[in-house]
Amino acid sequence: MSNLRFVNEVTLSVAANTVDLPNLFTGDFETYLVVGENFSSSATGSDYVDARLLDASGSAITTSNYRYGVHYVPSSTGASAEGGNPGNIIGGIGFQNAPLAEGVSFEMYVYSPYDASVYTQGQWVGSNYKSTGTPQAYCWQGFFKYTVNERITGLQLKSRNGANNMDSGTIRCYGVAD
Amino acid sequence: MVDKSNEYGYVPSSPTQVKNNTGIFEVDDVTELLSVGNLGGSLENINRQSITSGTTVEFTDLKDYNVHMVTLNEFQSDSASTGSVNGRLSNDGGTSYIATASYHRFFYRTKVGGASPSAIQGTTFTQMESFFSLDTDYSASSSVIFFYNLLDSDKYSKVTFISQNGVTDWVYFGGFMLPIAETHNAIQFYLTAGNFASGEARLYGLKEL
Repeated sequence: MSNLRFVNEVTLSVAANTVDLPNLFTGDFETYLVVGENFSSSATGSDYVDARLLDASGSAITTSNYRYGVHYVPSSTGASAEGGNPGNIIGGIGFQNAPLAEGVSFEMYVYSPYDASVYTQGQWVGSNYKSTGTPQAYCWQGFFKYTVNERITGLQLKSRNGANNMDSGTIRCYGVAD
Repeated sequence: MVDKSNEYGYVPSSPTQVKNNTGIFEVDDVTELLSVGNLGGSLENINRQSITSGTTVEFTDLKDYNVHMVTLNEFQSDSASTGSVNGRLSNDGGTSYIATASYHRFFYRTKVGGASPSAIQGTTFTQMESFFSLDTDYSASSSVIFFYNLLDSDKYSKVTFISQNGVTDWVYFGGFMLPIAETHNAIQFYLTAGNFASGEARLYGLKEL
């Protein structure tokens, strides 16, 4: 058996501005690999896909206790960065540009989310395709730190400006065994 | 089926295990555990190749996963001329590899000491260029690469990766994309100068329900 252990899988089936992905993290592992596939919308529009953490009760944490930085590079020209220090989101997991099946996909490592005695930290690399304007692909590389000692049990993906409801996508969580 | 969620064996430290068990898995137990993803490894090593020669590394059996991971560990070439390790995808099982000017690349790189940070971009490449470089003057190079949607005929194939490029010491992180919605069922990596001298290439599938 490999030391990467499947924990949970959630597939989005209804349109939503925010998508809660509960029960990803337990006390069984310290490091998790979260793999998101093709989070997108069938409606017309575009928006950033951000994230928040879910607390022990499964509620999204909306306080300004996130530190994050993300760098994103399109396949055309230029590159940009953004961050929050502090902010109330983990910004820039990707960008959804609908209608398009190739939404936001990413791999994110999350460290010690279930341990209420330490900060939860993580990093991700993601990609998406933007079809409007100059068609181009993007990559996203970011990190975050949630600066409260608190138990974290899941992840929320959200459309930043509420301009686009996500209605498809699958997320899988794996624990990295000791 | 009787709920056996608290009876399965071999989980002596599970906090939810409240009943003694026999330590024996019945056929129904195995079927049920497989259906919820709780049996078997979650990272299947589909193929492993020890590379000692040639200019290509190919994976032509991707099984049926949505997400694949490839690791290229400690690659070296036999040439003083610097070559790039590029990639291409196939839609015919590896008989041929797509070389039309369709690949997008979008990654960021930084040299040792934080020097020369730059975005590497383009939308009309005939290959995924490049995961890293090789020559005999510098240390080995390695990469961890994720492939999304390769076998999904309705979606574009997306690639994210992080590489350590031993030739003058760079880190690369970013991606490639082949915006053609079709099944891509083989992966090729190739070296543009000299031959591979050493390296370990592994293909994994990430478990799903």
